[in-house]
Amino acid sequence: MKKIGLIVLTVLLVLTLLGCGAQPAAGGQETSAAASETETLAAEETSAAPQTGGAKIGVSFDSLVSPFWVANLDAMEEASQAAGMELVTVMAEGDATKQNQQIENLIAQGVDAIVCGPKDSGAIVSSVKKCKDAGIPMIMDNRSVTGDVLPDVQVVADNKTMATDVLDTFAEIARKEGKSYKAILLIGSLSDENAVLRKQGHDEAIAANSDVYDIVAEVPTDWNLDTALKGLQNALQANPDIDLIISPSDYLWPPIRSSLEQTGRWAKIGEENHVAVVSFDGDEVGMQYMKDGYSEANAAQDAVLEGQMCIEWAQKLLNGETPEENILYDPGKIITFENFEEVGPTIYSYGLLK
Amino acid sequence: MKSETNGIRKGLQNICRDAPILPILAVCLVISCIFVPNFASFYNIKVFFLQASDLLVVCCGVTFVVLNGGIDFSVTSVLSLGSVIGAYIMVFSPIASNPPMAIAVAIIAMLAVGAVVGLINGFAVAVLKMPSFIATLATQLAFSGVAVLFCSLVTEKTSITGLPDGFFILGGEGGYFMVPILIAVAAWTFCFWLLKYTRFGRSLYAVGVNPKTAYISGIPVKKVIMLIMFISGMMAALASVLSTARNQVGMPSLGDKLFISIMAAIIVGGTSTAGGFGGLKQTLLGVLFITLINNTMNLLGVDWYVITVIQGILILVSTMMGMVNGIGKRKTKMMVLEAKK
Repeated sequence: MKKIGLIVLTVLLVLTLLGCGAQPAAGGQETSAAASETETLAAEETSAAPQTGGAKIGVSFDSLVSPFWVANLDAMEEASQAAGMELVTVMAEGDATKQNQQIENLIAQGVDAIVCGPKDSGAIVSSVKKCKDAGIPMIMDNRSVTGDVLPDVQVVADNKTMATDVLDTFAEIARKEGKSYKAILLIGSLSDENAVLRKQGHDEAIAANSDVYDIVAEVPTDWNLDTALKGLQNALQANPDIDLIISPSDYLWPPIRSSLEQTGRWAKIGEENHVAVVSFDGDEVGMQYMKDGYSEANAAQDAVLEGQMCIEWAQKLLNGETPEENILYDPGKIITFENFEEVGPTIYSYGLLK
Repeated sequence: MKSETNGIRKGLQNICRDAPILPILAVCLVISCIFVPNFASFYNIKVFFLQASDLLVVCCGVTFVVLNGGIDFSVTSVLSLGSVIGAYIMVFSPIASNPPMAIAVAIIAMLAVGAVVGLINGFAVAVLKMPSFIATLATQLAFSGVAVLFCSLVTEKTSITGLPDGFFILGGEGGYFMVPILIAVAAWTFCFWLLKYTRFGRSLYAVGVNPKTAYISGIPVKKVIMLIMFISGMMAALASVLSTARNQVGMPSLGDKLFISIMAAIIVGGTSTAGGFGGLKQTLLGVLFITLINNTMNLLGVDWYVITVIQGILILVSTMMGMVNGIGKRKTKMMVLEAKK
């Protein structure tokens, strides 16, 4: 038994030494392998070489379950191919610990920059530090992180502007048709930054279009479907003349549909009992209701643009550029029942519609 | 000369019987060193051993349970509950303003979580005679639920950040990368000693092979099982300390997805899930192998889903090898026993 232990140790040691010796020859053709001795060397090389052709970009995602990330990654692959860069993708499968390990492996591999869609904005901070230590530029994709160490660039959707835009756009349509609305405003969880920003955006647009929107009830949901359903039921009971529901997320569709069905108001656009719904997210549920004619407008994050921005900034950072702002915004896309045929197919969830 | 070659042959046979993964691991290491760019860089070797360290610690504990023919699902909940409680003490508790004391208290509290969960498991399995499969599944569900609830009570985020810098030494930050590796090696050595050189270790194998005969031969089966579950809980708690320090965050999802890797490492290493065969050497090899696979596949840029397929196949193959091996071993043992008669 002792022998086995000894053999293992010797094999390990010999191989490690062999590997170190063989290293430059084996990885000679790799751009970054030349600087593989230490992680800092790799950083020096990237800052010295202004060309990004042949650069290797590590992409660390949580998972590809959501169509948003699929479209996002596809866009990155296309953009990096166009720029002559190579993508190396790792998936954490919902495990924040694994994501940190995979980012370490990407650093070890000698990637030139890392694009990261973090699983947990708290847990990713240790990886941000490691990238900083290794001198590898890091770009946060779609979800931002806070803390004392920030990634070089963060690409996120502009929740506030999108919320304002979708209500502004819908108000224009309403004015054209000479309509005004008595509305319920649904509110997400006020501890969630996205929900707060969407609420601010909605509030601004409502104030600016007070001729169209008359908010008769605000329903806090705390992102809880049951709370949302009860709040909606109460509001619809108290105000039977409501003809618009403004929702901060497609996540809230089940209680919207159910409460409207219970009050006999679940009807398509143009039908007598129809209640208009302006939603947010543009996911497959929200888009399906738009396609089926139950919802007037939606605001979707631009998965393709965000992917392109990430690659573009990876390139810029490698060329030594620094962004003026740490957070860069994707303005999003506004879909209405009028432009659905035209804008719909550009939305990430469109391929999933029935 | 002849006896020497015979000795080598016997040695090789022994290796293939006791640890069939060893030759595979060696071949994979050679291939990785030669063909995987940056595999043998200092940074990667450091990362490799750091990644193996917390997995090794938790696997050591679970190996005891598996040797006993049981399973311990609850280790993942010890990791997560320990992580949030430790982080809470270091960030939100009244003693948080005194980092050295907060860190010490947090570590004790995290180990206490492991002790409590381990003892509950031990009580359920040894005294209430529940199958470990059900008992630990129940504690896993309960305690991981507590972890999520606790985290949502103390903070509105899904994780607790802002841990004191001194704590990160345990995760190997900066120049301290040897710290978690040495802790893991020490934990492994302790478990190895416990299993190999103590009465408890020997009775564990006996209970694993056949609890009834063990009982009849005067082994305190209940005590042994209690101790096994306790060790498993404590090792998971130690892994929780290392992993929390390494990820620099307390989170209820820590260890969520770790169970597959734990079982993969133990099974691939060559410990029989039926109990009684295998040990910590096998687990060490299994942990190195699983870490190696993840590391090299990432280095090679292999698609994640391809990695899972490869891992699945490896587990299947090694289990099959282990089964053939185990049956062979059982037969030889029987023959030896009969010959002794």
